[in-house]
Amino acid sequence: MMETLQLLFQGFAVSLDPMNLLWAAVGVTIGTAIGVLPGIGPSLTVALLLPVTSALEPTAAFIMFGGIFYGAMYGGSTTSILLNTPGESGAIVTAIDGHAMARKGRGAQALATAAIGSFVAGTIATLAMTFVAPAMVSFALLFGPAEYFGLMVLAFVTVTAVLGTNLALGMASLMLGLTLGLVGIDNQTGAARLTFGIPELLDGIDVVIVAVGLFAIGEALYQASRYRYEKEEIYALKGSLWMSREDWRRSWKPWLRGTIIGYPIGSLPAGGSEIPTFLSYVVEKRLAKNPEEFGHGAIEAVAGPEAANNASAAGVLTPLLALGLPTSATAAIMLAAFQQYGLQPGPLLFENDPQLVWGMIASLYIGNVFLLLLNLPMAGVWVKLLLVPKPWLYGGILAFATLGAYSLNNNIVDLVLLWIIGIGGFGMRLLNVPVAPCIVGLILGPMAEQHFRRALAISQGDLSVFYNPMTHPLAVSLLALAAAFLLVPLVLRLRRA
Amino acid sequence: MNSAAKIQTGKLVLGTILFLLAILVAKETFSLTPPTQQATVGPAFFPLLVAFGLVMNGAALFWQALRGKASEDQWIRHDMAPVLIVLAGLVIQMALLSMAGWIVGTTLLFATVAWAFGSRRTMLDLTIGFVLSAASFYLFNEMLGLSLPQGWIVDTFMNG
Repeated sequence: MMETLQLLFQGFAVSLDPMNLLWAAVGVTIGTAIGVLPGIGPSLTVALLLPVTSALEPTAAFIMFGGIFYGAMYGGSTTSILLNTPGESGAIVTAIDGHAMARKGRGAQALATAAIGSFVAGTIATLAMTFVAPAMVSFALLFGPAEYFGLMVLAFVTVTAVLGTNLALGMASLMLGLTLGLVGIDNQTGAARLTFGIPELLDGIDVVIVAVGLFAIGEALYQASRYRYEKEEIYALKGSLWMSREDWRRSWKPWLRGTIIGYPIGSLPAGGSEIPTFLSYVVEKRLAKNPEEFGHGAIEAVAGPEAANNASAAGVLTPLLALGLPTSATAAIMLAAFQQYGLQPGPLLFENDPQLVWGMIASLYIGNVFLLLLNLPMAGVWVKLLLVPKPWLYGGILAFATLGAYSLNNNIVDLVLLWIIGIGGFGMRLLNVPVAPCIVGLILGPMAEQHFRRALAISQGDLSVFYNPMTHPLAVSLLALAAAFLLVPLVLRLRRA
Repeated sequence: MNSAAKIQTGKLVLGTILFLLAILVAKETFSLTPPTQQATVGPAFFPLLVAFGLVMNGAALFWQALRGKASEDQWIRHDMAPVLIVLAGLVIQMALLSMAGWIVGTTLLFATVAWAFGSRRTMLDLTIGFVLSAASFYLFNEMLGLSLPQGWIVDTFMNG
């Protein structure tokens, strides 16, 4: 406890350095600016902005990344409230009542309760992360390769099975990700797998290419195919921009409840923000004196889910930093960013690079304060960004998508891959195939393989490390849990049918 | 075709893609030269596991599609022409990148995409595309140390 506080204070010393403060401010500002653009969710924002940090040393880069991530979360809620185009599934719930409020001329209050709720939730959840992450690290020290393998299988299953309605489609996405993850040189033996003699493929397919291809190119193609059918209306902010006493009275409890729901669920390997935001909506509706107002612009239905959304963002960062385990598409891209710097999040990073870890955590507190300042008085400025016409918006998105993809390795092969994956993303969009399992599979697949093989190397080929509960209770229970997540809904469905 | 039939066709297509990928992965894996280094689990094990998963997954999609249970999903109405124009814009950019450089390629990409989204103010689109790509070129190359291609035309013109 004392040690954690001490480390946190050192982190604040790092993040209060004027240059780092500047990077945090730049990060939250461009994160908000890009996140506000319709159709761009937090994961795409982080992927698109990777090249911006390329010139920085790691600590500054990750301080900026944390800012971009939190900023994108704030920006995304503006879009879903005013335009009803949630950039990512976590913002869908906010869009229902937030947009209804905007139609009634209460858009400013919806934005305000979202911003203040995000601040409250983000700050409390970051505080929780400060103490949970070191505890998770000391727990993770007990983990061997078999346990990590179990944890990763659990993450595959929860990300795939918990989201979406159709298991076969979610699994297809995961399998595509795992297949893409096979490409490149095998770390342990140096064998070149699925490279088809193309030297550029030896290093594997970058997560950024896949994320940008699926999200940016796929989304742009989808929007191009749909623009004739969709008319968007933006509701201008009018009247008082501040929340009334009544709004405050109705908001503060949903903020806190959303935080309590969002943080723990976000930090479990359960796919990020969808579940906590839906859960928060249901809870608020159940507790409300006016449940009939829900769906027609109830402020509680914006305050709660938005708080849950931001709390789960901090939740997702906890296993990412402490275990190196990404549980959402955004976290997978952040992990790729760490790997670009040759860093592997996990217990070793806490030990070897406390400056970076604690500097980043401390700058999340500071970023939240910046974001509150940026979003309350300046909401009108961000709203202007929503007015960019679609032809220019998507022209710009594609320009930056190709910039990011090209600058990873400075070669055209990456642009060809981006093109192919973009077509795939368009097809997935039409068939309603979820994208997150593909990205998580791509980055976790090779890691799971390494741990699997290392575990068997240690046990000298004895497979019982994965099923004998006497010798490896933790690994076995993680794998059993994964099997349960997969099989129980299947059995229930078969019995019902 | 009605909406449900289109979704079924979509699932059959996806299932077929998974089958083809499985064949590709298996074929490539069997042609791997066995590693000289000894390992308990070799580099072929996971690819074969993935190929097996792809086959199972493809079969599940076929089963869903052929059993013909009406899906709750709605097929989404869409036009293919703008999609193809956007894809063509990306090809134009790729083709021009090393010869004419980032600024020319991306300006044309921007204008093509704007055209696909129904804009017909082509001169204005080209101008905005040019400003955007020139600004990103100087910002990223000069300030952030990336190396977006200048294009050999510019290279020979400026330096030769």
